[in-house]
Amino acid sequence: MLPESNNELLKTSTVLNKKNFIEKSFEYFLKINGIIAGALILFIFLFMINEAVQVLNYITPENLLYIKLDNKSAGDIFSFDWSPTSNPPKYSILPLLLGSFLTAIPACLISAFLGLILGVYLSEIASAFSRNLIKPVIEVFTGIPTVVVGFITLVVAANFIQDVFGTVSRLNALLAAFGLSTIVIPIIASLTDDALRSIPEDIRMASYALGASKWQTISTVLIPTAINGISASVLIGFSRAIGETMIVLMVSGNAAVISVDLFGSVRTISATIAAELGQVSINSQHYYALFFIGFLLFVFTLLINLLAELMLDKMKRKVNI
Amino acid sequence: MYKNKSKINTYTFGLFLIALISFAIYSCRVDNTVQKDVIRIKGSDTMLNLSLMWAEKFMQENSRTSIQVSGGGSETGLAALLNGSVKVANISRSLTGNEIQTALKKGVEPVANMVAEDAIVIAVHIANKIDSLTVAELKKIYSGHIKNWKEVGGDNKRIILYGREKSSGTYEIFRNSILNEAADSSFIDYYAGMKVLQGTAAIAEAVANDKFGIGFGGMGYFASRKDVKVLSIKINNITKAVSPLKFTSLYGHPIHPNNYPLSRKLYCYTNGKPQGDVKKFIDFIVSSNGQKIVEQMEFIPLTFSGE
Repeated sequence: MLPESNNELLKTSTVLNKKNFIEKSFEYFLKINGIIAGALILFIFLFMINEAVQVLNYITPENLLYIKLDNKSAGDIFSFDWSPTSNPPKYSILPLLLGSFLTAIPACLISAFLGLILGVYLSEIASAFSRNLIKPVIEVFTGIPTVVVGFITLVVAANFIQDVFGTVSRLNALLAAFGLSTIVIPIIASLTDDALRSIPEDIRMASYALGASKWQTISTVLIPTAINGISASVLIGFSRAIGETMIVLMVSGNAAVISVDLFGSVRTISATIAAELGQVSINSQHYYALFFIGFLLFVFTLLINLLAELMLDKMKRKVNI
Repeated sequence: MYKNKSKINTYTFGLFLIALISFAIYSCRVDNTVQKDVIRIKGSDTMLNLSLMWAEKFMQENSRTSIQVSGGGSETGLAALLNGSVKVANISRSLTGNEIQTALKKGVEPVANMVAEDAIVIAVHIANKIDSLTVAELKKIYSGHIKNWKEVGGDNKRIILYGREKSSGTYEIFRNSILNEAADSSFIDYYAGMKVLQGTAAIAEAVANDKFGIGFGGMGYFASRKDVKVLSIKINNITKAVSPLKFTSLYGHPIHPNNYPLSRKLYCYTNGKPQGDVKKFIDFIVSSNGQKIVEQMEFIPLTFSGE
């Protein structure tokens, strides 16, 4: 009797050992993959920094902002142009920065307004049925290829916007902002919805128990509680808008001008990289300049996303009290 | 509700798997077919449609060869030829001495094969009153010194400029032969407010939609359109305005910079003399069949260009 049970015990322990081995190897497999993925991101970052700082070997920091041109008749002229194939080449990043902000900020404002409304509706007002219908649709919207959005904006929205606002140029920053908001609205709506739903039911109940109406609950209890999450959603939407390439490349007109005219054409950082990186010879002045503006964009979105992450963290702690 | 959701997820996952498997099977099927010889061509957007037609007709006759054509601009094509990723680069201008030097340094010997001629046309919206411009006016318009149609005899409206990316051969030629036609003056650049579009087709589309727009590009994209007007160009105030459309083979006129300042030759650059399949393809292009396609696509065939 005894030896037999001992034998069984041994069996179970080998099974356990075997199981343990599989478990361990999976653990290591995943760990190694995780490390590789993390390292890759780090290397991309280092590579970008490395290429971006080399721009200083070719272009002085002030020439990245303006270039002084000698003009026999009118004295010195300060040129704020981005025109790398010109003679002399001009690498002012100012028009590109302006262009990026002039498309991303209006897009973000439009989307924040509409996205918030949609998010509040989804979380607080919509019935379970309409919510289950709308939420997946919104999530599908975030996945539409941006070239399709750009094309539709160009073919359908361009003439419409020109007719409504009477703009001189058909391709302008506002049109790009409208195009961008089609991909930013779903992001903001979805994240706002998540933020509001993370608020425990007790808080809503407490508010109703105090005699507050639904509108009062939403405006004075829920939104202030979720404000960090909502701000984070807007920030994430903004970083998506500023990094977006295809839509602005197609509809913004790509004219690198110094102007804050919402109805004029602009050229964004992302569109400039997309349009010009394919043709530059590697290790040229122009190549490093493009890497530099790419690095700027990268740092910018990184900071915004970091801020959004911090806000979400704060929100979580607030709700979990 | 959660149960439901997980069910949906299982279904989606199942669908995804099915799609993945069918894709895998499909790609295997392709891999098993007879190996084809592939000629990759890259370069000028102006020549893109033309090259596609050539490739299509050529592949009908030579089913063993497969030709892949892509655009991106002349400089993109040159870069691809230099790094060896394509056998043929479509370039809508002749290479500069500097470019040839760079190529030789990289061990590539660019050989020009002239395949067609083209005129860069200036196009405006069909409702525009203007019919012709002088070279000097064009220069002022594209460098931003004339901003209103009124100044060249049109409506009192802002001129909306459309142009191409810096990688485009058309961009270079237009800059050299219009903006910087007077060699002694200092370098003149495009007006920064020029809208930069990706490809000549996009410019044709933009000009067709913009009542006060003006754009330039290869003749093939504008000549047959009913919604744009191709302008005649005057070299100066004394000479007659010349329309580029008159230079199609129907008229048989030789195209010459003295008549129309924006003519150019189109090239297929190869690394060394074309050989094997590439030679066959180039021979096809310059044959009468190939040149017939040139005419169909609204470019100027070599045989008719005289001189």
